[in-house]
Order: sequence, then C-alpha cells, then structure tokens
Amino acid sequence: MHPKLWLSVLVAVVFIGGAIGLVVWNESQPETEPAASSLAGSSSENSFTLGQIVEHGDATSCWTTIEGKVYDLTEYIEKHPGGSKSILAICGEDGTGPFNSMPGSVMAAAKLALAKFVIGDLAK
Amino acid sequence: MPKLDYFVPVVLRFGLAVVFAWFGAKQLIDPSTWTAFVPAFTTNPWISAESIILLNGWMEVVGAALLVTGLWTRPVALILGLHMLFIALDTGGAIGMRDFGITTACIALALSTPDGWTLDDKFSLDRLIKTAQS
Repeated sequence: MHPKLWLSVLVAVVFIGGAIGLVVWNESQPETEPAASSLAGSSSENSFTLGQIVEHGDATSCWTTIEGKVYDLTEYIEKHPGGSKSILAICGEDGTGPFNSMPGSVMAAAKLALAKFVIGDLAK
Repeated sequence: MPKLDYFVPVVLRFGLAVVFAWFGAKQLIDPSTWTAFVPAFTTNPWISAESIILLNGWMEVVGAALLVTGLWTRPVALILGLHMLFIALDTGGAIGMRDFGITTACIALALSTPDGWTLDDKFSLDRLIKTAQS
C-alpha cells in the first residue's frame, strides 16, 4: 500500500477517534455550572450602584452592568473569543448598548456565557 | 535575486496552520468561553454546545497539523476555507470580516500547487521516480 494511503488512514482514525472521544468525554462530565436560561434568570442578593461599578473600570478589576445585572468580567477579559478590547471597553460602564449591538446569531449563547459572571443587581 | 514566489505557499501554509492551531487549542482548553459562537440551529438534545466547540477545535487542530505536514494540503485548505466562510457569514460584523480574510487565505492556498516542503510533494515525487524506474 502507498505510504500516503497509510498516512491518510492513520489521520482518519486519529481524527474520527479523537472527535468521538472528545464528545463522549464531554457529555459524561457532570454539570458544574448552574443552568441559566437568560440574564434575568440569574438572581443575586447583592446590589451595586453605578458609582461602585465605575470604580472597577480596568483589567485588574472589570465590572460592568448589562440590563440591570452586574457582572465581574475580570477573568473573562482574556478568554473572550472576540478579543479583550470589547470587554475592556465596557469595564466600569453600562455595557447594555455594546452588548445588544452584537450579532443576533451569537446573542443567546453570549447571555449564557455572561451568566457565569453575574455578581448582583444594579441598584435602582 | 532568488524567486521569492516559491515561498508564497510556504508562508501561507505555516501562517494558516499557526492561526488554526491557536484557535483550535483555545477551544479545546476552554470550550465554555466559545459557546457564544455556536449557531442556534445546531442546538439539539444529543450534543451540547460545548461538545460542538470541542469538535470544531479538534477539526482545526487536526487541520493545522495537516497543513504543517503538507498532507492533503489543497483539500484541507479548501475545507478549512469553507468552514471559515460559514463562520464569517454566520457571525458577521468585524469578527466576520476578519474570518473572511482567513477564508480568502485558505482558498488561495487551496488554489496553489503544494510547495516543495510538503508530504504531498514528497509522495508525488516518489511516485514519479517509481514510474520512471518501472
């Protein structure tokens, strides 16, 4: 058999085997994060004023408020798939406008990702 | 002065491999931060969004490895290009435009003959030699 064919079979086996292994492994992991279906669904007893949020306006401590919820996005800055700049831009500010300007295709899942970082509500 | 166009597919191949390896590895390491990019129509009761990200990351890592080694360079570049085109169209905005740039680079690589540092080239040379000897 031609070496290229051997290599191709090997790559196919590794690729398919790895893909199946990853999915089986991931699906067998216990759910560690509480399921959150929306921003409003994440409840918290903490309440913060906009003045408190402004004090956390950089990469060392990045808080923002979106649709009445307050988020500590410090850990998410480097993890954000779209780059750190878009998160840094809303540190210490009301991020509702920039958040809602995201493409609709990623909005629902972005809300799920954001729900992990909720720390409280915006004081009225 | 040597012809620099010899290095065009080499630079393109290794550059794209680094891009796909980096993004693929990031998805495999922390899939939960990428679920925002999973299209809504892929939602199903059997495979979670994180698993879809893991599959995507795995495909990109394997694709990067194939680009580095130069095995099936043109079909792999074409598949990765179409994959990126889909992501670019689905995501849109500034991120979509960036992905469109990667798409065109992949298509350019798919259109070019595999360079001399690829397994594709080595195997095609072996075949030529064997054909000549027989």
